[in-house]
Amino acid sequence: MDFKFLIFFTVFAIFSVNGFGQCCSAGNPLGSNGINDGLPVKEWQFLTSYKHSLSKEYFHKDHQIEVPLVEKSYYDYQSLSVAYGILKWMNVSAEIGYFYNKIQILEPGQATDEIRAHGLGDLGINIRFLPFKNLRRTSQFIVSGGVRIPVGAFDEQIDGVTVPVSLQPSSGALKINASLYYSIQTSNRKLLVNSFALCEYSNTIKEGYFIYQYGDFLQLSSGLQYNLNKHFAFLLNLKYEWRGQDQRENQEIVESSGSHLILINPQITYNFNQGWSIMLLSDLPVYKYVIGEQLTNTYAVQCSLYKRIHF
Amino acid sequence: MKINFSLILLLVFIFFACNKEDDKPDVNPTDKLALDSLVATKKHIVTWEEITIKAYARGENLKFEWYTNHGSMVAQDSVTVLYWACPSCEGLNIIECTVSNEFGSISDTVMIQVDPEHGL
Repeated sequence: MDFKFLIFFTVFAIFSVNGFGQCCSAGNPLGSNGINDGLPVKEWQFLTSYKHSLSKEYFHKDHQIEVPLVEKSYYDYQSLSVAYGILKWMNVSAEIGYFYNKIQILEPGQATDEIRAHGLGDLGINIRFLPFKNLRRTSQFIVSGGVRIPVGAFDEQIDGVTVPVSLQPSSGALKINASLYYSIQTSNRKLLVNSFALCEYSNTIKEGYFIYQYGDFLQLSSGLQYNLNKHFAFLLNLKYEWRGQDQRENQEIVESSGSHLILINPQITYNFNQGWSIMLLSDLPVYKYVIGEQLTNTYAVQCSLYKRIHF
Repeated sequence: MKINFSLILLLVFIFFACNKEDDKPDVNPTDKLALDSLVATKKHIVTWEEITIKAYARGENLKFEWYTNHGSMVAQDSVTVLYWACPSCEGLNIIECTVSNEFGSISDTVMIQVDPEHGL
C-alpha cells in the first residue's frame, strides 16, 4: 500500500497555520502528550515538550464573531515528564509544566497593552495498566488513571491586581482522569492502528469568593501510524473533543462554556540512533461548535524530545 | 546552660511566630488605616463594557491589592482599576480591594452585575 499521501498530508498539516488546540484556560494543556503506549518493565522514559498556542478568534456556535477589547491570547509552555515501567503490566508517570508566559493582548487604546502571567502549572500523576498479558506482541491495551494536582500559581498579580483566571498558570482545581488505549500493528510493523479515549472530571474550586467547577472533558481519537523506516514514523489521528459547561457559585451554569470539536492531529516522529526521539505535532479543526461566545484556538504546535533508558 | 537553652528556644519561637509578613491582621478603621468606600462608575453592565472602580482610603504608605472572582481588571493607578467581563463571566461578580500598611490590612467589596450584551 502506498502511504506517500499519508506522509505528505501529515507534514503539510503540521505546518499549516489554521490549527486548533486547547484554548485559553487556566492550567496545563489538555489531552495526551502524544505517547500513549506502555513501557517495558524497569524502563524509564524522560520527555520534555514545548508548546506554543495562539487564540485570536471568538466564536458563537459555529461561526466567528468580532468582539472588542481583546485582540488575542497566547502561551508558551514547557513540560517535563518521567515514566517508569514498574511491572510488566504497570507503568507510572509524573508530569509538571511551566508557563514561560500566558498573555492576553488588548486592543490599542486600552489602559495597558497586555495582561500577562507566568509560573508553574499543575502536577500530573498517572498509572497505566496492561491488563491482558496474553495479547499478541503486536497489540496493546492500556487502561490509565490519574490526577492533576494544582500545585502552581493561581494568584498571579500585576501591580497589585490579580490577573484573570484564564491566564493563571494553574487550573486551581484537582482533576481526575481515566483513559483507554488500544493499538495493533501489522506483522511487518509498518502500519499501526490506534484508538484512544480520555475523560476528565474536575473538582470544585473553593477559594475565597471564587467557587467554580470546570466542565467535564471527553476526548475520543482514532489514528493510523506508518513507520517509514526505523527513523521516521508518521501518525494521523482523528479526534473528537467534548467539553461540558462550567458551573460557578450556587451551581449556576456558565452560559458561554462548553464545546464540541472535531480535529485532525498529525504527528511526525524521528528516532535517532542513540535512543533519542523527537516528535512534532499539531491540531487542526475540521469542525467546531461552542456554546455562547468563546475565544477559540487558532493554532497550537508542539515539539517533544524523549528518551527511553533501561537501567 | 539550662537558662541559655531556654532563651534560645524562646527566641526561635518568637522569630517564627512573628515572621508572617503576608498575614497582616484586619484592623478597625482609624486615621492610620481606613478604606472608606469602593465606588464603581456603574454597578450594572453588559459584557465588554468597561467601568472604573476607585478605592477611597486613608493612611500612609498604603498598598492596594485588587481581586475579582470573575472578569478582568487592569490598574489605572494605585487606587483605581478598569474592570470588564467577557461572556463567560456573566452574572453577579465580586470585586475586592485590600488596603494595607504597617498597621494592618482592611478590605471591602463591591458587586457588579454583568448581563449579556445582546440578550443571548
